[in-house]
Amino acid sequence: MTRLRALLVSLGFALPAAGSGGSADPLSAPSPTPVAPDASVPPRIASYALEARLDVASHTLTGKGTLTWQNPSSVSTNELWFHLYLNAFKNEQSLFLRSPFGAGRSGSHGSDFGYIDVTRLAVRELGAENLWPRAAKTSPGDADDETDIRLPLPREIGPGEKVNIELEWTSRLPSIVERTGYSGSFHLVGQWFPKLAKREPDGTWAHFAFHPQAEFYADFGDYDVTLNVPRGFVVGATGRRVGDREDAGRVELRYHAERVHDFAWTAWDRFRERRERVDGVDVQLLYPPGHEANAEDELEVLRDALPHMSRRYGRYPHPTLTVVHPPEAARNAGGMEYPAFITTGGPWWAARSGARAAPAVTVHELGHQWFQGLLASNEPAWPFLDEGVNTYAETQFMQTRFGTGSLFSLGGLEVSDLAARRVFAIAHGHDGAIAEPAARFATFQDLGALVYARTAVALASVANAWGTDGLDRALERYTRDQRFRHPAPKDLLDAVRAELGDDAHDTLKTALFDKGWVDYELGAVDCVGEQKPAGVFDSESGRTTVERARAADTQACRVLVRRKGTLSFPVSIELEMASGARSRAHWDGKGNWTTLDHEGSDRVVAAIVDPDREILLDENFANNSFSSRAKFAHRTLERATYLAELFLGALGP
Amino acid sequence: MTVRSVRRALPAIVWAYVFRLLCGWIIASPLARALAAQGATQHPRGDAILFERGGLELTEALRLGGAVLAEEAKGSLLVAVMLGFVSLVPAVGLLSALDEDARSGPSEWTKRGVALWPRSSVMFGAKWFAQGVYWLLAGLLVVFIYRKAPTHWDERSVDLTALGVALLCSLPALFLGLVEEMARIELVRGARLGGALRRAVRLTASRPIRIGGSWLLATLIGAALTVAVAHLVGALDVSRPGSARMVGVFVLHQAAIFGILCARSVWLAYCIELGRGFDGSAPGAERAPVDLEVAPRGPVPARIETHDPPAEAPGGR
Repeated sequence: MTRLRALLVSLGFALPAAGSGGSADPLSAPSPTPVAPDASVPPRIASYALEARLDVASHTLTGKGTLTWQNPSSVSTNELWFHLYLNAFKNEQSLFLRSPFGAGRSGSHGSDFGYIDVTRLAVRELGAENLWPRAAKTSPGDADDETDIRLPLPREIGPGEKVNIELEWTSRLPSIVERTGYSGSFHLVGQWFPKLAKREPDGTWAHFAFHPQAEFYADFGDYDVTLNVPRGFVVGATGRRVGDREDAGRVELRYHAERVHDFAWTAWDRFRERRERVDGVDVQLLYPPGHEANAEDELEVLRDALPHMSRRYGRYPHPTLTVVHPPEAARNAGGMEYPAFITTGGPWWAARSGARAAPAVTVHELGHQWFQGLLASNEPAWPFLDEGVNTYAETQFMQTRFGTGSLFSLGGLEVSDLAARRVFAIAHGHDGAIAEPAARFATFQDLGALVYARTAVALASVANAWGTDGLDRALERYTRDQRFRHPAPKDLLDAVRAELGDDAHDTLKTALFDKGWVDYELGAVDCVGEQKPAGVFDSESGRTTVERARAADTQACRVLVRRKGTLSFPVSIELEMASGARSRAHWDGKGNWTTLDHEGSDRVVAAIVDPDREILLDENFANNSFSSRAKFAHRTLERATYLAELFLGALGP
Repeated sequence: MTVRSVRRALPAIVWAYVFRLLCGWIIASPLARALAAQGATQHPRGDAILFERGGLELTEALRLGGAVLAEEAKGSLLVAVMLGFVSLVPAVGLLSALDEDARSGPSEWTKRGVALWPRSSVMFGAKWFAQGVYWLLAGLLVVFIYRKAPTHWDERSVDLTALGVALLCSLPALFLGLVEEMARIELVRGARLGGALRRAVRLTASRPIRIGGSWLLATLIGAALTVAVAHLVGALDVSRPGSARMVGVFVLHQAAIFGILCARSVWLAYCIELGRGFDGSAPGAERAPVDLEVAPRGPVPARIETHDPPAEAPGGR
């Protein structure tokens, strides 16, 4: 499976080749300057006014509307590029579905296909002609994929020029694969309309075919959307509901959202609903019957997480937040983020299981309101900028909120979110760089381990080594400066340099871009007793005899610590003396090794590098310590024996 | 009567407990060694680090030792199954002690356990095989429920229905288990294999609520003990320094195991009492006139004489 996916990638499915907008040298390329650089006045580049009618029996949407687009670049364009994401599910030849080994994050192909047919597209300023027949039928360089479509224009649209694009289309939703689709009468409607690609300030279009490992990228705008659904269906959507009307067994709901780059919604006739005002935001929580405990858990965590994130990363800008807990049959719709609209998930008994999966997913998706919602980075090109940084934000909050049992806490066993993620981060550490386009990862497992987990672990290591407050300030700076913008990796690294200095910047950069790794090792602890020389000594004052002392007068000890790998973090080294006294020394981590010399009456009996386990990127904690008094593992033996006794009791007579 | 039997059999319970502790240690040693070898034994704080809250060191040890642990776990599982069978010896010994009127000793219990081991092993293995087949069929039924559940049911209803069906299905499996336990009692009391099984079936079928209910009570007591001890142990937190904590945890854990054994012993004594009062008249419950493997000694033959009717009234007591 891995080899085939690697082959597919090598055959040209890498996103930058499709014009993702990723710069050749990402570290020299800051985020492009938007039309309105003032964060308090975010740009409205692509605004949509749409109407859609959902046929819940055929899972079909009929839509029409107007896209108002302003050319944000300094270059005229004679083409438009549209993402027809739903065509990813049109047939098994699409880039998304063509791998026989499953698709996307869920690894599922789904059981029913979906597609989008654009029936009319006219640019009002260019005449009333339907331009869509001119559009390419397939994605560039891929005759089987129909998700990335070029539309040539009869005349150029100049820099800063605003046009109104009239759209008509029909969409059929697939069975839930992920992010979008239906399951029974449950509908999660994402990527459901023709979406204009993002035009970069330099005049390139950030367009790409929909790859199963990638997500989205778009310009900010205002959305005014009217949804027509059968009466009895409960609807949740991006934005605030500003009107509703009933007519002939159906209801028409109008939503308005400002300064967003996408619009998603859900409709189900069996949703239960809770509403609450949290930190000035109207939260609508939609969940299946029987999930009352999960709903309470999710609201509970939001009550803390929403103000926490607002404090850390800037005020949540929208008046509403819709949280959707899909039914288990549609579990692949869970764990997704759209502006002011997130999906979480978990079985109905999750809240009673001791695991904090549902709160963790809720917090993660909430974090995306900042890391991608407000800082709208190019997800296909730099997934770590949203998924990775957001995972760090999630683990930080979970640690604050739930302590050491932030992932699991039951019967005295507590496992933290970050400890679990570290396992994957280290296990996959050499599989590739973190900072890669989504399509370049051999498998989604690799992407998950490197982009999500390893970024979070790298940031946590930087925070521990150079100061958590400093990294908090760096992220505050980054989120403040890049709010309503489209940051690039350099923007994040610049913020780290500004707050934590060059060493932290260089280390993080290596960790992200160069498969950086590190392994601290306690090389050796050697002690020699030093005595006055014994024997017969002649001097001018006469002959003296010095007896050999029974014990050494002083102990000279040397502790050797090695650093392997390409990363260097400052670390502590703790020495333990025979008397039980302890002392700590600090090593800047530069160089391949260092020694600590100790002289005195007390002998060094144990040493530990990084005793507080701050450098979570350390590849192997097992070689970090040495003790001349090797310990018998009586606690482990006791616990294992008890468990074996219980097992025997269940198994045996 | 039941309580008196248990009190009298306390040395046998202790003997069974020591045997279980030994078996647990045999099963656990390789796994514990393999886990602790991933750095904990070289750490100045020893394997206390594996119990630190947050699980950083524990997850690291599991990551580093995953392959070794998996191999060791396979070996330990095999050893556990073997010891499960060997545990029939003290189990039969415990039953003998619960059944006897006067106190005998470990050598007597062991002899009796060894003598009856072949037959009790056959029953024990057959029970697991039958229950395995049964659970497989029950699993298929649960899968069927998930596939055919009405679409208007919510997932909690489907799950609870499947759970209910699984519990219902577990009743016959539980019945099999109880029959095997009852049959072991009958074996201890001198019945032949076939007769013991027949009598056990009739006894269990005629008093399902008493036998099953008391078993459930003993099992719930065991579960409650396990949960309570888990919370206490969590509060003691062996990752912190102090050997007193370690001793405290050991005592708590072993108290739980001993408590579970005591609860089970009370249940077994109750079942023995039920068996004594049971007048099963169906044929085939005849007892062996003389247990060939073990020379009757002490109170056992006396009761055989007292309770075992002559051949013309087989099985009736």
